[in-house]
Amino acid sequence: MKELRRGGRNIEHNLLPTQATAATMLEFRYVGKNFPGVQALRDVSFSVDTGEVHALVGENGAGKSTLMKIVSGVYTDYHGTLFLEGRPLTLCGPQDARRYGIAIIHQELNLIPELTVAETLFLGREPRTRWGTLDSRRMKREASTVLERVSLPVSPDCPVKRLRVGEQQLVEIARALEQGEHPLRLLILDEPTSALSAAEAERLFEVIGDLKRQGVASIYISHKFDEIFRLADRITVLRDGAYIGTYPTGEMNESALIRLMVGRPLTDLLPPQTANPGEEAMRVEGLSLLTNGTGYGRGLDNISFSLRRGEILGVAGLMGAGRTELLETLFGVYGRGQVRGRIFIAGRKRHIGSPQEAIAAGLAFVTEDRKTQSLISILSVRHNMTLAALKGFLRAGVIQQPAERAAVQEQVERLRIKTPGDAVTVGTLSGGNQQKVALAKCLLTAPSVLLLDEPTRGIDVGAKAEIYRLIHELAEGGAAILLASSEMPEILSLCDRVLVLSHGRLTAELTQAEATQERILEAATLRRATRDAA
Amino acid sequence: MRFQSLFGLIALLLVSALLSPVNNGRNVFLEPQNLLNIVRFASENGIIAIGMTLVILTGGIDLSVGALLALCAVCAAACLMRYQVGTFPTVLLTLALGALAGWVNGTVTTRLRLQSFITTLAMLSAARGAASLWSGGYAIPLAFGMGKDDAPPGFRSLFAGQISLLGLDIPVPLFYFVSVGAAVAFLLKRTGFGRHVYAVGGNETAARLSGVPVSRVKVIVFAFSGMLAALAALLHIALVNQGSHIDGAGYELNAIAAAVIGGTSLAGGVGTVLGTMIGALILAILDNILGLRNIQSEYQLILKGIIIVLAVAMQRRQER
Amino acid sequence: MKKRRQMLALMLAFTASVLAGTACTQKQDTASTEGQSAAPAGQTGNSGGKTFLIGMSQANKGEPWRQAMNDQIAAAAAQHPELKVVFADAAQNNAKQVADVENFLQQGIDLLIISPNEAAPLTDVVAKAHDKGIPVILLDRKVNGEKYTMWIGADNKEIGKKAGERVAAWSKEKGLKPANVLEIRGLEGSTPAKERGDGFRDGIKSNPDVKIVAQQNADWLREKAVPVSQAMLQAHADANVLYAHNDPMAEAAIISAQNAKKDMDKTLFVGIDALPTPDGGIRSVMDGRLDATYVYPTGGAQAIEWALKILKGGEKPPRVRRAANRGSDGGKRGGTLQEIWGQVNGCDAVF
Repeated sequence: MKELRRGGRNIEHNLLPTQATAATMLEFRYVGKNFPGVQALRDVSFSVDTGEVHALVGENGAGKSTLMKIVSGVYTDYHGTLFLEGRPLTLCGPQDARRYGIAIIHQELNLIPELTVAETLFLGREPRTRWGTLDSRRMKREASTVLERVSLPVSPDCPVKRLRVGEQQLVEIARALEQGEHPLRLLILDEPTSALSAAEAERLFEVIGDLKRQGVASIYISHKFDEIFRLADRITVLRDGAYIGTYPTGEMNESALIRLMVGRPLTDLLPPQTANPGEEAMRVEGLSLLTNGTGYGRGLDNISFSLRRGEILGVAGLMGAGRTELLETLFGVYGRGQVRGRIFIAGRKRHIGSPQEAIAAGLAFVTEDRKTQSLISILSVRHNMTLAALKGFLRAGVIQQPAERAAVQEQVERLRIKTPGDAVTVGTLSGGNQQKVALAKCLLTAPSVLLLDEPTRGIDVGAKAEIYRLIHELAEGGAAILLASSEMPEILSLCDRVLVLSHGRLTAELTQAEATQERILEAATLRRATRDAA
Repeated sequence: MRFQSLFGLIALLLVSALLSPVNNGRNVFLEPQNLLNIVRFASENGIIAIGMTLVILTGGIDLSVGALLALCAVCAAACLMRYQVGTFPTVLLTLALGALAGWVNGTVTTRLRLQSFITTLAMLSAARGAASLWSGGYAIPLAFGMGKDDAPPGFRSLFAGQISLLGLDIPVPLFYFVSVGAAVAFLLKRTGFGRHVYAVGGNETAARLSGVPVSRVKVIVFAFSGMLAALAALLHIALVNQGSHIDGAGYELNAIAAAVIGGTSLAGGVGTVLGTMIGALILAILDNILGLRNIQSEYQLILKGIIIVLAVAMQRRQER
Repeated sequence: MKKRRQMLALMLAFTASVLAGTACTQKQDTASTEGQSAAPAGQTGNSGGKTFLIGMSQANKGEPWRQAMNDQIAAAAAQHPELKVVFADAAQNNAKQVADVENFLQQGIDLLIISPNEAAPLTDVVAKAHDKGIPVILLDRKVNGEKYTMWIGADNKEIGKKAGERVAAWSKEKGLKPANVLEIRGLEGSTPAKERGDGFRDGIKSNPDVKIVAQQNADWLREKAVPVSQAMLQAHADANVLYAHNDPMAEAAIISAQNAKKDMDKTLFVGIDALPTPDGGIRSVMDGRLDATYVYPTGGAQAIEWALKILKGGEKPPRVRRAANRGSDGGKRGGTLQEIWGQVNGCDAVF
């Protein structure tokens, strides 16, 4: 039945002459997709031109990912037709998409940690010598060339697991570029900069610029408006699976775009400042993290600061500056042998040798990577949410289920988590809602100090605004918050004070008045500059 | 998922009843005595498999259960016959030995950061060696009676006896099986420890960052698995009337098979005790009906392999 | 980190102490052979006061019957102070057994006793020893070719036949028409299981009323034979005879029959092997559980006798020796297990 309908449509539309100009690379015509019970996408029609950067925006669940999975050959049963350079395009699978020169870089990284960079780039089409053995010399040579194109200064022999998330993303992009005999025609980038530092993002933008000059079309999916307005030639907006419109970037502004995406005006993403710091919640003296010479995980060098109740303290820095390591060290992730320095919570010196002790000391940690560090995706919302605070629900070791359910329900309502129920597997929720569950898990332990690492990474505008509001509420309620972020606007407008790290050192501590993009960047590149000179 | 294995059990019961030989107009498979035999033989493997399920849920595996069964069987037989310590101390010592060996499994795994596959493989070898040394290379036969050199008959009625209930002679191993199953199911579903078990298997890093004492959880599940192997050993020697160092060979694989047929994922974090119990029953029924039909053992092995793959594949489909 | 180091130290210490312990015994071994290895192999035949080193390579000590073989060799050798026997257990692994024999050759043994795990994989290494002038006595299983000194083994088919004849006679005596037999077989595909089965079928031919109504494999294992025999008894409530290819499986059949509330006096239980061990078949017959069991002699004691003759007397042995097979009605005999074993095993008539 479905097949028949699809066939019918194809015939009907193939009869119509294509309106595409010579410059059209890819055209969507009445593209739709049904999942059992849901129409994820309906009647989407727009085109992407040769040498164009075309931004695709919309809230999570708007249908962006579904559309991109159709273009990259993941979904083959959809309605409507795709045209590539004027010819109808039917893909049989992701491999097929590659043959047509269509590459996609997913938001969720898709690398095998044990492989080296070169092996990753040539995975599945390794060059062979004439005896059929692996031509590793040629592989490394070509890998170096591609890595240069994305300005990633790592050795082709370096295992992928040794790279930070941002560097791994650049490897993914390099892999998309290295298409072998099939020239790249269309590059799809799904939130490519969510884990990149400003400098790395710059490199990426240059790469995209290069490709644009070579006539490659790009579809750029992002929640970051500054990037969109800077890079994109045109912007297409999707909302709830429906096509809203395509607009030249010059005729758009941020608030108009938000209105189109959300369907209602959003006065301001960031709530106004209401800093009202109380007594000291945490003091850190001479904190160092030794790397044991392994080189894996970069160290921290003699960091001291204090944090007051009701205060939001930002932690800024480039990739690898030690933002994540600082939070992890405070939370007891590393063994005692690796850590030096003293930590005071509410004036009392505390030994924190494990996450368990950190939680007991009143700390809570929302990690950078939800999927691998924060949530257990195969377990239910309820089990995830109460995991850290389980002790509070036990009587003689047995869980008091009514109390647990009530607490979970309270958090669901407070954080406005959209979930069909508390028994749903957490992996099925959208990114924003998953992040809220991670946050709720921390809140249930009633922490006095909240450590947040990239709390809005990869989530949509609406959810982002809600999380900002929540962080503010928490600060107003007397929580002390340490917020590490690679997004400058987040640091600038949310935080009362900003710590800037560079290569594991504290290079600046700025008040909100002092903190500007320029001063933060200056401090963030401080030691690198001196080292380069030396 | 659980319903999937339950469905498999019912289907197998129906097929078995249909294929069963008929004696004097009576369906041999459905005779109460035969059904009781099935659960009697399922109990031993089932108890081991419940321990195995705990370990697998945390993302580990316990290959040492068969060898631990042998070691504990020798221990119990030696206690009863050689040292004459009486029933109660024998039971206590044997269970303690199993738990201790499991504790060693867990401690070595967590402290030395080895994969449990390796540590328990080492324990398999070590326990077999110890059992053989202890027994002197021969099985220790149990003679029950009131004589000076005999084992107390109470031991046998405790572990291989029967209880009359509703006109049926229920073999006691069934009671152990059901009570262990109920206790562990409660532990997993309703206690903080149970939540921790699923969390460790689901995502160890996230569990650790949520303050779960990962190492302690792992040590406890291994100790539990060892102790349940010891309980199975007590049932085993009471059934076969001897404690032998060569017993229990390959039992770890039967236990893994029961857990997997019952829907436990070897990746950890997914599985239920009820599923495992059903898995153990399925395996026992299979053995029984193939025996009743007098099917050549080669075909039995092949059929068992096919059924394991089918059961797991069907559950995979269900998950999607 | 500290605990980790402590634990590693503990493991190392244990390993070291075990190795040290075995090193001592090794030293004794070499001490007794030092004089030996100095003398050329050819001279050993007529040197009166010499000691001799015998290597005994066992296929799998895990089987009680093979453990008994080792024990009998050790016991027989203990009566001759000039003999020293070193043992190796291949644990059912051909490669390990080849390595064991190589190891013996390195130690400079004067005679090799070997019960091969399988013929083909061990043929070469046995030939190598034989070529070096070392006498080789094979026990139970043979190797391929002619490069060995002698083989001592029993005839499984003959044993099976005797068991069959016993069943035929018993059934006639009881007037059973028909007499239904349940057969619990050894590991499927193994030679002894096949021969014990075939021989049994020969044996019952004399009485056409005897019928094998079911046969199931239980891998020689008691623990496996319990559920197997239980199912057989369930399907064949009219069984009169349970014949198992070894005693442990016959014991399992007894357990199952008791559970099935069978009339034990009207049922015949027959096993094979009749080991003189506490868990063996002779004990079972003495205790009145098994009705009959048939000695499957290990040939261990004979091997030592012949080793002495070869080493000291320079005697050329016959290539093939068969040990006698006799039924054991242990209840009618007196004495200890070892004495009974001696009575039934001691005669080594040549077939």
